[in-house]
Amino acid sequence: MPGSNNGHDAQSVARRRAADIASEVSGDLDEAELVQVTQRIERLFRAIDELRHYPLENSDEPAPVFRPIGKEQP
Amino acid sequence: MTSGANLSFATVRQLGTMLRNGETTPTELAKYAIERLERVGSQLNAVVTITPELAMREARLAEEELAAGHDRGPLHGIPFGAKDLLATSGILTTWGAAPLREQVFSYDAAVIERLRNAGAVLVAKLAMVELAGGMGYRQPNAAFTGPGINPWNTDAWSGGSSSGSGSSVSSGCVPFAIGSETMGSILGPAGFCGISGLRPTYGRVSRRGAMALSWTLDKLGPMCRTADDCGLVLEAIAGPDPGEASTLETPFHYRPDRDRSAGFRIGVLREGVSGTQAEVRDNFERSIEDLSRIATLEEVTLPEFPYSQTAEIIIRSEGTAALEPLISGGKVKELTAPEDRTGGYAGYAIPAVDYLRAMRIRQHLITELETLFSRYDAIVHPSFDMVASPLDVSFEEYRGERRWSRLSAAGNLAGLPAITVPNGFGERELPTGVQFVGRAGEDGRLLSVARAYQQQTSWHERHPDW
Repeated sequence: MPGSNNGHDAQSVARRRAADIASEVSGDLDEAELVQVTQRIERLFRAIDELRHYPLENSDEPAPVFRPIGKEQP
Repeated sequence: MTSGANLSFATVRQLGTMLRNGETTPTELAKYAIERLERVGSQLNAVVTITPELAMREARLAEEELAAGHDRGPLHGIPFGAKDLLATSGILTTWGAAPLREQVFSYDAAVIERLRNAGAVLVAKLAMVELAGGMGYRQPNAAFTGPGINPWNTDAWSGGSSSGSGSSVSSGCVPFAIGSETMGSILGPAGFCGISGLRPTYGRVSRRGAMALSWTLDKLGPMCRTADDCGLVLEAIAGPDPGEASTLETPFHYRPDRDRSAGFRIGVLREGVSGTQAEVRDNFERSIEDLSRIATLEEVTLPEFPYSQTAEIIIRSEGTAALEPLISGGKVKELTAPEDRTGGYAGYAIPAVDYLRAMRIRQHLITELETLFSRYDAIVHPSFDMVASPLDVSFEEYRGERRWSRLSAAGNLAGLPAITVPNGFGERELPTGVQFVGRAGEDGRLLSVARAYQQQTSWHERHPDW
């Protein structure tokens, strides 16, 4: 989980994040819905943790590479 | 005039010949498609809106033009259906979602414009999984039109998210339809319904006027009876669009008469094949035998990357941003699938740095996959590890412990073209498929491989009894 190697901590982080989202984005998530959002966040955190193990260099740019104009002029 | 059976399952190319031989007319084809959509399509939950007035107007125009010798090409006078995420001026465009069931745009999507210019006749807006599956649905009942029903077995799902596009072509309601794919939404329903479905190279087809789920992953493509028809439709809808920054600058010309029909070099990807359903595995091995007559075959493996995790972070980030007004506005609570009502919130938890990390990894995998795919005309793999799931079972339950290959995530992340074609039948008499994935930009070469495969086989000539 992001910021944690401990499963229990990670679950707590996900639960807090779900509560934050409910408060910031939608004020009317009930307890059962909060559990569902928490579980989805935990799943995303697992994916994020795997990506954090992938080695990247400072110069590695994201795809698609930014271009200041839409198309290169002929 | 021609009998109904001939019209129901004829290819676009065959219908074009019939139109020019005077065996049928555009108005007859349009009336026939409308009647069939009302009678058959409705039983399959395949239709959102039938457009009879527009269709008959366009069909009459096509009839006049063809009679006057003004031939717009192979789609002239051919009826088609469009996934209901393509904007159509003055006609409902619901994105499959209950809260948007009254949504109407005042413009046409680029694909609709191009098909009209090619003389094709829009007969229906076709059902789809709500919001193209962007909220993470986990079972078939995820559209306000009901679960997509498979024409081969009405207890099975049609696949999604281009559900109605797959089932309406498979059941002979329309000769072709337009679908969209972010991650499997063309190849899935095409494979499950036993038709040919093409996911073009990213940027090959303009998405202007289409619902966005993931800007860097969304593609539009044809769903037809044959690979040859996919080529005919792709030529009509492809090409640069000044109004859509992602479109490729090079035009696409479909030239089957100049293409090879043998001597291909094909990579065989067996990753995950041992874990597929037995019939899927057997049919795949038979497809390999068929291909050995037209190609040199070589076993390949995918370079190691966290494909599915990369795809998940990108789709969830971009999907939450693209559909943010529906999520923050609470409209998602009106969606059909219970899991979709909360599925959009989790995307807010993804840090920007991790979205960018996924996009940086993506650039690496694009480079590696280009090296691999540049060596082959196509890489072949089963379209799916299993046939369509039962309507009343979750995807996870039906899949069980089976783990699917990473090719779908890899191909979509790298923007590679792919086509699925039928290759037999599996459990519950449902179709199985084989997919060919090609190098980015080589849609034509990919089509020639799939067409050559279909010249060796007859699975694409089978159709359900409707």
